[in-house]
Amino acid sequence: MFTELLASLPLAEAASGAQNYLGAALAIGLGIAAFGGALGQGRAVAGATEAVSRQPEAGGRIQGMMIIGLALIETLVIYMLLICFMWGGKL
Amino acid sequence: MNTLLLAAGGEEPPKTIFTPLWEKVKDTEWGQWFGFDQMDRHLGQFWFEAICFSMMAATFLIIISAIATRKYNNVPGGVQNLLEWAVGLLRNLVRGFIGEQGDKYLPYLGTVFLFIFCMNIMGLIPTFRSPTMTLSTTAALGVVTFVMVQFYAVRDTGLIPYLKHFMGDILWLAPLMVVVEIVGEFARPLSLSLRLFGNIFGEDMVIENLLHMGQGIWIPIQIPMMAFAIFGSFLQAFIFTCLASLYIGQKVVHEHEEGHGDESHGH
Repeated sequence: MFTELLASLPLAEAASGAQNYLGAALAIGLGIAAFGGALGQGRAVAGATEAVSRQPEAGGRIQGMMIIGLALIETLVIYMLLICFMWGGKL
Repeated sequence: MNTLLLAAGGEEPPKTIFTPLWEKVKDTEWGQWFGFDQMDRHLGQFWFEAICFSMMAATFLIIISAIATRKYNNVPGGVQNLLEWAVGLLRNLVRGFIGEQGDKYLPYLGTVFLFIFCMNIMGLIPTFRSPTMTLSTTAALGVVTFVMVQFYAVRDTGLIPYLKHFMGDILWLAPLMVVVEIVGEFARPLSLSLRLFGNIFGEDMVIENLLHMGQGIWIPIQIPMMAFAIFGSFLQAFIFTCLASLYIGQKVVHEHEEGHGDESHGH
């Protein structure tokens, strides 16, 4: 009875038959990627600002390292974004 | 990509100045041989326009360099001064990663930086499109960088030290280290090209969506995103050059046991 009730809801049309959850998977995956990326980049910036506060003369070098580190972490989030672009058309 | 283009309010990607030329070329015989008639996800149009725009960027850089080097003034002024400042910055950057021998690799690395920066910035001009918005262009840049790194390593350190580098530091783990190092070596151009492609494609798509949301030029909400895209384009070219010089530096500075950890980045 419960499955009949579930099948009568309009949202079942997208997830019936072969149980295609691609849309939900892409959205949740991108959310997790952005979450992890934000955590990593937050730690990088926190470390950089603390290092500059300890030794302001090294500010230029630390800023350079921070920018490179941020771009490397962001690459992993971009990988997930590319998967969303590639498979978003198949929704 | 298709859903984004449809959501942006049109079946077609925006027309650029080379679109009429593409429509003439795509049905000819050599157009079909190159693959410009591929209408699946508008790839044929993207490829053709990427080739045209990248050649335009290269021509622009060649013309600027020709203007700057016509007569070598000892006290430079104008365009020559601007280019000398840019070359000085790039030389400091490359030296920060490779050390004093960085001057040998400056031609290739500096050209890569200027070329990628020009190509990324082109997407912001109204009827132009960045060639780096297609995976083909960025993959080509990644492959060329990969080949140049191996070429510089073999030319400057010799074939035997280059092959010994793949065996890693611990000798009895050599079979495992060879596999790990070769996979890592091939992962580098892949990550370089995907990083550049993803960032620039994402920026340009966001600008296009904002353009359609603001009904064209009536509500210019894409202006702040374009300001961020200038910074993002510069950053991606900078990151590409930094990583390419890091890869060259890892392979070339083995025999000089200097304290490279103490060298400043020269910022």
